[in-house]
Amino acid sequence: MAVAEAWLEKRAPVIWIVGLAVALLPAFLGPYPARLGINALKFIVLAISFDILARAGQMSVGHAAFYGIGAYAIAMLSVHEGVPVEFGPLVGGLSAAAVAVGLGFLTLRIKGAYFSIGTLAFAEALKVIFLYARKYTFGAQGIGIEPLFGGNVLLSYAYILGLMVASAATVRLLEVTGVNYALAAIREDEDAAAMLGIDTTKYKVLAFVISAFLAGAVGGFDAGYTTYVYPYEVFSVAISVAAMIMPIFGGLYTLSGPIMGAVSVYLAEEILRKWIPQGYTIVYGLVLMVSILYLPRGLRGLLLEKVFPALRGSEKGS
Amino acid sequence: MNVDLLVQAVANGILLAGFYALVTLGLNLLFGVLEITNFAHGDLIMMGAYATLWLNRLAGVDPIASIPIVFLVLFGVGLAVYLLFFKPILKAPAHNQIALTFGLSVFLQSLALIAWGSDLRTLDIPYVSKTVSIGPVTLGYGRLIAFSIAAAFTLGFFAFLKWSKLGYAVRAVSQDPEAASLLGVNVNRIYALVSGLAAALGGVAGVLVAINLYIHPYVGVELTLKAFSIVILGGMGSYVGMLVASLVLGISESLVGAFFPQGSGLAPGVAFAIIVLVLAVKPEGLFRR
Amino acid sequence: MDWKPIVAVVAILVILGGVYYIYSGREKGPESVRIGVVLPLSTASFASAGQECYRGMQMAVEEINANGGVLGKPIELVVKDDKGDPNTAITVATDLITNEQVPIIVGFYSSTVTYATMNAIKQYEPIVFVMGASSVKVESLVGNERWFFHMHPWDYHRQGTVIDYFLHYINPTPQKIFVAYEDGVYGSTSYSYFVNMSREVGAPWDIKGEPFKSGSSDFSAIILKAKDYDPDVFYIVGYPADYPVFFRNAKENDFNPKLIFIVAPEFPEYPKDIGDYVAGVDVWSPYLDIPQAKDFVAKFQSQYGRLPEYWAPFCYTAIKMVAQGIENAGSLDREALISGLESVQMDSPLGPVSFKQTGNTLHQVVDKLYVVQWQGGTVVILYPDEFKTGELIYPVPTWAESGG
Repeated sequence: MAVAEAWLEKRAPVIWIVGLAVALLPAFLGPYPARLGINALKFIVLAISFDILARAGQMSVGHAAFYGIGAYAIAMLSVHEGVPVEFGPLVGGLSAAAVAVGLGFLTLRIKGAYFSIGTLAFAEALKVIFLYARKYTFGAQGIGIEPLFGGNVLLSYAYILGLMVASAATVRLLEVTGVNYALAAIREDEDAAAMLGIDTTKYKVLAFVISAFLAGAVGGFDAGYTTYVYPYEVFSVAISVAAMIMPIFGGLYTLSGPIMGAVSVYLAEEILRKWIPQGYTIVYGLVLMVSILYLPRGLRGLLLEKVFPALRGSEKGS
Repeated sequence: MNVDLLVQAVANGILLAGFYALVTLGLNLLFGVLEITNFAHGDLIMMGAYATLWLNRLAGVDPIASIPIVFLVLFGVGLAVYLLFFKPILKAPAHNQIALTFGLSVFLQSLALIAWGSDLRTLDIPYVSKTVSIGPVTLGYGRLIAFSIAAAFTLGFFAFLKWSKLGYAVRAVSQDPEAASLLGVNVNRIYALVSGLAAALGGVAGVLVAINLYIHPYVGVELTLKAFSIVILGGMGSYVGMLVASLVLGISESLVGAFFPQGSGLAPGVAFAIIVLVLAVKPEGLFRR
Repeated sequence: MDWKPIVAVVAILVILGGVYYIYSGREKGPESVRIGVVLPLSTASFASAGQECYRGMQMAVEEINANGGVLGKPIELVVKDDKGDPNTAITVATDLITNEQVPIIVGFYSSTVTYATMNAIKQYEPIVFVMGASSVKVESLVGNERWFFHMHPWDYHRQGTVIDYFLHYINPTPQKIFVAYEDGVYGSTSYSYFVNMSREVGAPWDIKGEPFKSGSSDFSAIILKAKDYDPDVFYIVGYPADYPVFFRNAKENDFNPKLIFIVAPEFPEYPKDIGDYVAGVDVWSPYLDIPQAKDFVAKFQSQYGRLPEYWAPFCYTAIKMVAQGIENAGSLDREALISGLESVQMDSPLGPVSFKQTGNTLHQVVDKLYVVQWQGGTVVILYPDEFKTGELIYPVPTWAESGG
């Protein structure tokens, strides 16, 4: 796999350009493909967000919490204070990040399954809170807001594409500045990392905050894109599940993993839904289990370890 | 304050606690011995509920009579789950286990949806809605039955753990698998047994769900969370903790529902509040194992 | 430089894209009239209503096609599952409008999904015939758009019926009403409507309301609160899952209001034993003495082995109305179709139907509801008078009296 990675590294600029071209394509094929593209891009950012936190060894089973906070932040500000909907991602990201700071410090001692359960409980608790804080959130009636860019699909597309590029750049930044190494060390063995002098608190909270920001940004975007924010919707387990499955399937702790995972799972879902209208979600369960059992490095690992050498082998004989 | 209301609420809470204890038992057991947190636990309960439903609808079996059958069927399911999913990940990092059992949960729910549809079903059992009055308190038969069955199985399980040879082996393995295997215990078989048992106990809880609640692919989701809250509060692996925590959850849910304004909507949130509070203050729970 | 891997990846993407594009809608036959359908078919919470609606649609399509179709061609439903999720609904609706280019979309169940979708697609001004959505939020958004057609009564219709019934048909008029409502959009909006409209008409009763989480395993707490309040009527706004649990908890706690009143008391798994004497408001009843209704019920029963829930005749009627609208229009042209629909008038399992203007809605079909009561294992229709099949039992026997 190292051979494959090296090969790809050398051609990184080409890959980025091709990737961007592919990402832009749906926008020009019509409103329906554009909407599909928007959804795929949303999921990519969500998957990257989950992955960043996972790099610190924390598996969040309640990622919808940050998504929901982001959505509600812009919804409430838009309705109560007249903040334009287009500020959604910024407002959403900042709110979620703010919460993550507090949460990050609170959960420092909590690891593994406890952390996961805690995130799940947190998301569910938020659902109840937003349901009953009627004065600000209108409770179950939800909040209807202005459509993003007046409903213009192309502008929305550009916006989420920008967000996606920014999140990818963030990941690269983490890798380039060595933050990624610190996170990996913490993930492998937190105590050992601490003994090596790594400030585990700082890095864990940092990962938490960045992850939350991105998830909140998607939530903020989606609030304007779907124009309706409602507790059972934005804090739903479905969002947490998607956030989890996509990067795991694609390949954790990488950039291309979450991207591939998000696109493939989303496309698969769209196609499957035509053939198995009820219960196609069974594929999610299967994908997740199969990934854990047989694809330890995800789709990315599969491609790089098996497919790549197979394609090259005929020419150069590795 | 209305004392009668208080007493009734506490009584209801205690009966509820019994049910919750049985719900949690399998989860606790699995964690105690295999150290696996099973996010799909509630869905095993759901399968038990469906088993009860079909035995009743297709073969006319009374739910209580179906308990031994459901127990065996779910035991088999638990064995299968162990062989297919748990065994490979016994030594895997925590997050793999989490993702796997979560995937299993989604899988089971979807399977139920495909197989049996999204219609909500209920069992129409005449004796369930009968009641008995003790002083100011009215107790429903359905609830009493649930409590008795839950208590019977829980106590039976403790007896098994404490006094049977197999139970002794289980305890040995949960303390120290390596030492146990040196002593001649087939650890793999114990793991399989425990997985089967955990699922089987969940199945019995499922029978109770079918009697008192309703049968639907998603009925297990909330139960998983409540089981988690009990296990976190009581301390994972501790049975005394589990009992105490069940009481805490059952009674506080009942009290919140009865006395808080809008409490009936807030009551389900008690479980989450417990999780969040405990994790923030004392992550090991009340009774560390 | 070795291009093979890049070529391979690009090739895969192109193939996938192509396959997708091919599959995404080319199954249409040129010789059919295609009607777009958006329904929740897979999310557990809404799927049973969505599926029931779809069954009704299929029955209508079969009948219409057996009689020569519309404009001489068979009808074909282009069905998209919205998963009960606004985002998905927006996406598939856009697909139907811009890609599949159907002349009309029929469907939509939840108010939330409908609101979000209408907001997103109103820029295209597509003709939509919404089956569900009772929330006035949707009405204020698109109610008076020429392209919006609506089947289901709005919340104010339903609560209006309930209040009218309580005021004029219950003797003596209730003085205390306890309302248990599910804490989602549906329950909360119904509750506020009930409170506000009661005030508006100067109703003499006091109201106490308490939200609950639909799907909970136990409602004893709320029953105890209600018992403490000692209301004349215990009014529950919930989903089928909740009612059996409520009834059981009420019995266990010996809670005996003079009447338990619920919304939509006729659903496939209604607990007839413990739910006897419960009254409720419904948009339709399979026991209605309307010839088309009886035929529909008989046909449905022979096909599915049980009585239909109201979504079936709703959606059945909707397709029939659309068919007539198309015949009236003589074409699938947008303007003609709108006029064609506006002039629809027919008999149906819902009674005589047409599109009327009510409240803020230009094209509304159902605006009145029925009040029914379960008596001895069957349903008695109490209101409106022209459909009455029996009398209200009030106060109902206590649990002890009815042989607890």
